[in-house]
Order: sequence, then C-alpha cells, then structure tokens
Amino acid sequence: MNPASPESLEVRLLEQGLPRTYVRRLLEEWESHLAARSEEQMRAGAGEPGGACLAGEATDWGLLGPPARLVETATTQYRATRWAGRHPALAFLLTPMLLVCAGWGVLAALIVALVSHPERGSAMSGLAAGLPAQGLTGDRFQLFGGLVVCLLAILTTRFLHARSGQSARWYRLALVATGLVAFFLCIRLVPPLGDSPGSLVVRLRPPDSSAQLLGGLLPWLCVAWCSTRDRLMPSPPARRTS
Amino acid sequence: MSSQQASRGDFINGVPELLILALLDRESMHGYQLIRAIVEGTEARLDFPEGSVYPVLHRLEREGLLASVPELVGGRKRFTYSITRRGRQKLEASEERWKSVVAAVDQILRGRVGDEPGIA
Repeated sequence: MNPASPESLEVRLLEQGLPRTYVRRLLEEWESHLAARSEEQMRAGAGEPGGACLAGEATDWGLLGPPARLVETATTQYRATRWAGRHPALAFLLTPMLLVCAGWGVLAALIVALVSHPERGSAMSGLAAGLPAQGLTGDRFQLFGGLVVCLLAILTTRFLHARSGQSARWYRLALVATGLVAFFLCIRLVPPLGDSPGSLVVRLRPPDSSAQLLGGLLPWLCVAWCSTRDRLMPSPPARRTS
Repeated sequence: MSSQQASRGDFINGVPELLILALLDRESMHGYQLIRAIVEGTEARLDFPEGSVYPVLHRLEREGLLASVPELVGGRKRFTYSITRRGRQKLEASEERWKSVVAAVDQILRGRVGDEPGIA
C-alpha cells in the first residue's frame, strides 16, 4: 500500500479512533485540495513544455505532507474538541464504572423499596410483593441486573469512543474495568427477595448457585464478546482494488 | 518553499489559528485558497504540511469560530469557510496577545543587542 495514498491515510486515521464521517470529510477536502492544485499547475504550465508532467505531480498525495504528521495533526485537533478526547482516563475509566455502580444501585434500591412496602397497595407494590412468588430471587436479580448495567456501561463506552477520537486501547480498557466492577457488584451485593426482604446483603463468600455465578460472569462474557471480536468497534475499510 | 527560509515548527502554538482567522476576516475562502494565501502572505517562510491546515479548520469550525458551506465543483465537494462573530472576537484577543508577546520578545532581543560590546 502506498504510504501517501488515500487508502492508507484512511486506514491510519480510522486506526487512531477517528469517526468515519470525520475521516471521509478530511479525505474529500484533501482530494479537492489536490485537484485545485493540479488545475492551477495545469493553467500555469499550459504554455510551457513539461506542463503535463507538473499536473501529474500535483495529484501525488505526498504533496499534502508526511502521512504520519497529517495523521498526528488530525488526531490531535479532533481530540482537542471533545471532552472524552481531552480526558480519556476520566471518560473511559471513571464514567462507565460510576454508571455501573449507579445503575446497579438504582435497580437494587427499586427492588428493595418495592418489596419492603407491599402494604401501600399501589399497583407497583402489589407487583413487587408478588415478585418472590413469581420466582424473582436475589440470584436471579443478579442475572438481570448484571445484564442491564453491563449493557448500559458498554453502550456508554461505545458512545464515548465513537465521539472521542481515542484509540481502541481506551475502549478495551474501559470494558475490562467495567467488567471488574460489575463482577464485584454481582457477586457481593444481593438484594434478598423472599426470606428477609428490605435490605441489601453483602456476601463475603463465593457464589453458591449457578444463577449467581452466571450473574457474576455475565459482565465478563459481554466484555469478552465485545472486545475480542471487535463487534462494536468501527472496522477499518477494506482495501480498495481499483 | 525554500528550506533556508522556512523553519520547521513555526506553524504551531496558536499561529495557524491566528493566520486562518485573520485571512478569513478579509474574505471567505476554501481550503486551497487559504493555504495559497498563507504561503504568499508569509513569502513561504513558514513550513507546514499543506494537508495539516484542514484539521485545524475543522477544529475552529467545531469551536464555532468558523462556518463552512459545502459546494459541488467539478463533481467534487468543496467547503468555503467564513469567520463568525465569535471568531472575530477570538481574532481580536489573539491579535492582542500576539502583539504583546512579540513586543516582549523584541524588547529582550533589542536589549541583548545593545549589551554587546562594539554595538551602539
């Protein structure tokens, strides 16, 4: 692949984590720039021998500058305008983890509040009172809660990554950190439903049921599924064969 | 561009923003026109990759200092950039700061030349 070709520049820009729409616009403008330069040189060289040769040189993408410097400038300038681009550690590590904790807390508090006040007679508390009877146990809540908060965190991380212009490294790191926090929450914090409703229990022992184990492992499965296969990552374009 | 005249690294640290805003304050231009104007206006004394101006333009546009209008020319999309009111305010502030820095550096340099023996 030619180091100063539009294909190689596109691949290198996408590898830096820049959004596809931004990369497309840059390439369009660079192409337009070279065309304008070529037209100007053709006009200037129309009456001179070797004018056509000059015009041919003007379509060389290397005239835009060293590819490494172009990629660096584009990446730096793009990231400078995004909060997640300027503060990747804060955006990719703290935000998803806080979101996981907050999401888990809200879910657990909602279930505990509903189950502990069945006497109020509202439709929701009536529904909540029936949750244990419906088979919603703490272990199963873990499964549900784990899935919800993990999906929330993964989507948030994906959203941040798509707009920050940061590399995939930060995205993967955020997923692993999120998985760790979600795993801890799923294994240790269980809202009991049934035997002693109304409080959160901090478990200090390993998972004692397959549902609980699965609830704890679910975040990791999500993380592995997303990061190893890059299913949610922008993929570099296929090499053009023209 | 002469390599003797040009100095690498000149096109950093707020200089591109100042040049772009100042030139677009005179008239709206597309990217190539703007780059030609910089090269001609500075007599090619600044060394910068031509392609690196576009990411700076995009950043300034994102910050609301510039506005762009796309147009189709010869089947290709071209963007014409113009300065916004916020851009003019930024230009005034940057120009003041630039003049202040130049005056301060100049003062030191003139002082140094004056201190040298044999130079009046």
